[in-house]
Amino acid sequence: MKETLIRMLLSQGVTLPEERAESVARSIAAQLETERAATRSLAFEQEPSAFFRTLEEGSK
Amino acid sequence: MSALTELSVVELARRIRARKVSATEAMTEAIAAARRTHERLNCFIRIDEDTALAAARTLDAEIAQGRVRGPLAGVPMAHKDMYYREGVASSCGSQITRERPAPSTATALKRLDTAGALQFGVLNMTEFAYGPTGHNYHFGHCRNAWHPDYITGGSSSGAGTSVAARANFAALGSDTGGSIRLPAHFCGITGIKTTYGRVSRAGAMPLSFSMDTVGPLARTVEDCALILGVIAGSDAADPTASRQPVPDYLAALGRPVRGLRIGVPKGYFYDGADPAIEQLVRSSLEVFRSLGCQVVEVGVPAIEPWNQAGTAIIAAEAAALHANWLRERPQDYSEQVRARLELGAAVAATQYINALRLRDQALKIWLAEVMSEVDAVHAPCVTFATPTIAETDVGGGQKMSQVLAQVTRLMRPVNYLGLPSLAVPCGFQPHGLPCAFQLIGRPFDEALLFRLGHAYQRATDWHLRAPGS
Repeated sequence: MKETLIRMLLSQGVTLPEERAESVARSIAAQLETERAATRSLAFEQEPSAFFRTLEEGSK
Repeated sequence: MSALTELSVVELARRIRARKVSATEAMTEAIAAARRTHERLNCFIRIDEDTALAAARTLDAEIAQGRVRGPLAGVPMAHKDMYYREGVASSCGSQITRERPAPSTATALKRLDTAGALQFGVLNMTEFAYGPTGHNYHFGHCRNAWHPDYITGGSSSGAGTSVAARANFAALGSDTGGSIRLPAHFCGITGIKTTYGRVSRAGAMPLSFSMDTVGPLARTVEDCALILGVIAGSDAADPTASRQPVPDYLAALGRPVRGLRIGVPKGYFYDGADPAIEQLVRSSLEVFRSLGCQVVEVGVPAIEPWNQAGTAIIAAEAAALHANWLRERPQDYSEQVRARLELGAAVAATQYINALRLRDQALKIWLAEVMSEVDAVHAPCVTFATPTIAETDVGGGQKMSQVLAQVTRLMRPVNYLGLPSLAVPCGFQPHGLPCAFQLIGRPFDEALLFRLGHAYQRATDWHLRAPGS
């Protein structure tokens, strides 16, 4: 994953130093693991914009 | 410290209106205090003495003719250096924008100008508002007014410490992952993280457009209420600014709090808490009980995924905003900010979008499971003793993610949910540094948080304590 990350960032024009790639990979992996578990229950149709309606109506 | 700089915003404005104090006197005292304090705490990036004094004299002439611009007439303020003023460079705490003139004036500044507030300078902040400790490797680290070896919290570091040190009456800050509430906690002042969309972000430096919020830091809840009433409301220049009407926050302060239900979270918020911090925060609940509030325990859903999702959103959006500079001027970022932006560039599009998709469900769960039971949730801002600047000087290395995650753990989920949260000082830690609790409310219900916080401050004097007094 370290090499993939370095290549992925390089494709964006950003040079990720090899010594930092390891900790970036670890952080991303931890985020992904938590997020995968949390999004399992999401409806297929769920859209990001629904949040703003809930927020506006949440005061009532 | 002069008697004038000890006054709250509300009291100073009242005296200026009544012509008991002139705006020029207030400005002269504020600038003198700012210069003295800056030497010790490194909290200002610029002090505009000549223009501020000229503006104060103009305002005094108007008042002499019976004309008062608005509720903040003559009150000196300096703001986090990320609120644009047309033609003037906002450094944003960075090397990159320090000489880039702003294209327009921030809506929040325009509204403060209209209300009569007088800006006399700009404040130190974390580079591009991307960091919770108050370190700045370009302008120097900001120092805590209670002890200069300790952190101020960030990213509104100069706002927190200048207001605490009585070198500034109030300041605009911004809160994307705790940047108002953390300095309020670490510096012992009051700050409101507003509901997402409550205050226009137009002309404020963006960090994460899905999470950024604008709000004031001041010494009292009453001051925050007054200032928020001035800056809140819809704005054609910011499509995300809500059209919800702005209540009279000051009028709301007078309403009783007896019978209001305050929720104390059973899990997450106190996990691993330092016993001294936990005791300070929990003891503030006794005050609410004595005021007739019902304090009840409330279960909280699994919050950590929301914390992680919020982290991914901020990282990805910040990386997108900074993509050009990150490619072309990577050497002009400090190591920590560059490392965090690189992390954001590594967030996959699917991860980012799923973090946004999850947000609606998370808010619905919070509203149904928590806010249906209580009027506000009472929780710590952080659960560890305030560290020194040296202890948290982790740069972009291995320890960075761990330290930053610890500082923002109780902040970021609130940003993810878009909710308002008021930080209120509630005592001092064993090593003499202040401590605050946060009150988290329903969307757009800042008025209720102010009501509770004001009642607490009428019953206590933590907010009146000044460093060195």
